[in-house]
Amino acid sequence: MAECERFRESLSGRLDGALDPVQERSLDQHLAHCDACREEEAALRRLREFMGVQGRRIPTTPPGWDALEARLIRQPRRRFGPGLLKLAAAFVLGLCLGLLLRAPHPTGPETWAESGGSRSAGLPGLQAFLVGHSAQAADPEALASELGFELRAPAELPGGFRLKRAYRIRVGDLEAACLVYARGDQEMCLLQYPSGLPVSWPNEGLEDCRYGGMVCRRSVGREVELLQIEPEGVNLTVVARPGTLDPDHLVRQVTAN
Amino acid sequence: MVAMPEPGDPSERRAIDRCRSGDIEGLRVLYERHSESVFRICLRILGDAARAEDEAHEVFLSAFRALPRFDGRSRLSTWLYRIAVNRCLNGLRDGARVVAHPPGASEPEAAGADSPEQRLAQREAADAVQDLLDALPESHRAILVLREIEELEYAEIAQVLGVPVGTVMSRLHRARRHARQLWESAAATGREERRG
Repeated sequence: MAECERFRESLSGRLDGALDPVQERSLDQHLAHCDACREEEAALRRLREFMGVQGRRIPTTPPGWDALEARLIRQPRRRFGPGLLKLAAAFVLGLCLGLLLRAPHPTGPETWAESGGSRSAGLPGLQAFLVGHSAQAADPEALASELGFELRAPAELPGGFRLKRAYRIRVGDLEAACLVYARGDQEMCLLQYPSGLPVSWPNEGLEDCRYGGMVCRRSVGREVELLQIEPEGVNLTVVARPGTLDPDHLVRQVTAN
Repeated sequence: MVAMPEPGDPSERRAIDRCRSGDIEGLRVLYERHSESVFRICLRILGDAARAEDEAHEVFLSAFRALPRFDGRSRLSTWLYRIAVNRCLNGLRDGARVVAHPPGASEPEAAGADSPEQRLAQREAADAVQDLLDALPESHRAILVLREIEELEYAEIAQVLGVPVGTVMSRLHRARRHARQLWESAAATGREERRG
């Protein structure tokens, strides 16, 4: 009986063709003189036939795509995820560049600023830039040593926001840390650059939108309008004066270049 | 064996790239290709069609959000199955398990059978498979669905369940042994009921 027990797992393995030739021969030798194990093998084959054939026989019709598409458009994306973090990083950079662009510029009002991304032709009345960026979750302590600059990451901020996690963010050539603080279901990202300047970005005010077949995110504020869209895999983040964005035009400009 | 595209299938790669750029038409391609298997896995683990439909949608919603982090080391189908199994097992552990289902209530409508009698026989057989799966512990149920119904290879099952290949073999052995006992016990009960 103890010998049989040794071979029972092999019986299951043989059903799946998982035994090597040595194991096969050894099992065959045992089965040649063991009625109980032969019966066990036959029973396992019957079970497999029953589950496999009957389990697949009733055609399974998955729920329709239309319902999923409706949910996809209706359902907000994660309240706070890498996409938003990238957006936040780009936004901060955009504000800085946007302020620079407000000053009189030698090339006129159609100038684009760019950082680590693609160049595009200018659009009238638009202050915008393309940003190549990525985000990666990290432990706050490990992140501090990786980035090589001192993080100011208190465990708790005024108002009861507590440190939850951190992300390493690349915006063009600039590396930054995003420290995520949470209070209840509210989250905010505290961005820190090598200069140590902290900039906060609350997790609100962004809405999902859709252009053509693409999902985008948009925020319209008093000072700037911000849009994130990824035509053909190009990360495109745009900051502009409110009401001046024409995403379709913008996408055509990017994909044409 | 369920037909699946090769790992390097160009149309699937294009669909993944489209998803990564936020294009839901890319997700539609992936959905048309994988939703049947994903739904069947959810249905067999949960034993309830309505919940399985909901979970199958959630699998693709999760995948759409997470595809930028999909590293391509496994097949996309394996990755989707992993999401599906984890979601369904978590759902069961959250206490929402369907303990019993009325015959036929958990299944989509049978189709393709030649006569009402054949459809009824198929329905009863499918219900018997589901009853057997429902009676098994979650880990045994999941591995039997992946191997016996979806016919995944050991290495793929290992990736879906996040366990070593050797564990797949031993767990399958235990699951089959357990299922066999339950199946034979149910058959014996059925015989007694018919006599009575």
